[in-house]
Amino acid sequence: MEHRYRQLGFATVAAAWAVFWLVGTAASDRADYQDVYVQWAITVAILGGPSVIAAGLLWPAWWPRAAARLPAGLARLDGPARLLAVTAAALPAGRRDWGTAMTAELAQVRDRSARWWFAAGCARAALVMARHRRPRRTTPGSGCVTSTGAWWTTRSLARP
Amino acid sequence: MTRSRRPSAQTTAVILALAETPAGWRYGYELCQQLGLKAGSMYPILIRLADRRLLETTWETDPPSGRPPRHLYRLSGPGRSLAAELAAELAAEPAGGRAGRPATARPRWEGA
Repeated sequence: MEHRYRQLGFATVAAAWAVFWLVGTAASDRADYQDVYVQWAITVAILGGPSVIAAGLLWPAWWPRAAARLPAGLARLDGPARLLAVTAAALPAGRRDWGTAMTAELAQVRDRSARWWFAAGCARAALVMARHRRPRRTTPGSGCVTSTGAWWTTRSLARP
Repeated sequence: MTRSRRPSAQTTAVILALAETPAGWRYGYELCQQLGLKAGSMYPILIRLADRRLLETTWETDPPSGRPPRHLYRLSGPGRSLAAELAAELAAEPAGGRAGRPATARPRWEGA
């Protein structure tokens, strides 16, 4: 299952990149526009590449632990319950009881669209929770890396 | 207790809704329906209130068979003091201000 998700992730990134490239080259018929587009694409690749690589490296460490927390009958659940189960499994240890609370509430919601809205809202809440739990030192750290990358790329591209 | 920052309209609405029945336990979906708030707004508010010890939480002890126990919420002592303070502030405001608004919270995201 892990292998399948990883393949799916890489295929999504590759497909998005291919579409981005094709749309860009098709939309820009003049050679100078194409140069600018290529420079821009390289910048995006340089800045976005490390995030994709980091996600690829972190995924094998994170996914087995999160998957172990998924309920046994996940396949038998409907879409909203499955979304909420994955959301609850992904929550940090100190917030997992809130995931259980949301799951218990969803069991009370009968209307299908209301279930989807509730599960989507809970997924958003989980994102907010995960963001608030992140240690503060990562924010300046990632900011420094991004700023240095942007500065280096701009400087390289600006050089004649 | 001194507050450093006034709670958002949504947080105020949640606190005042919980203060309607201070001794009773409420659950998340019920509060969402009462206030017209999405779960994505309600749960972060409940979590922040619980983190700040303004909310007591417990699990339903005797759920009907076939469904998991619910998480229940009610205001703690400091939470009830804050609710009284917020209610007094709202009552003191002019009719065209915040007090003139309906009880439902605005459906947009705000921090506590």
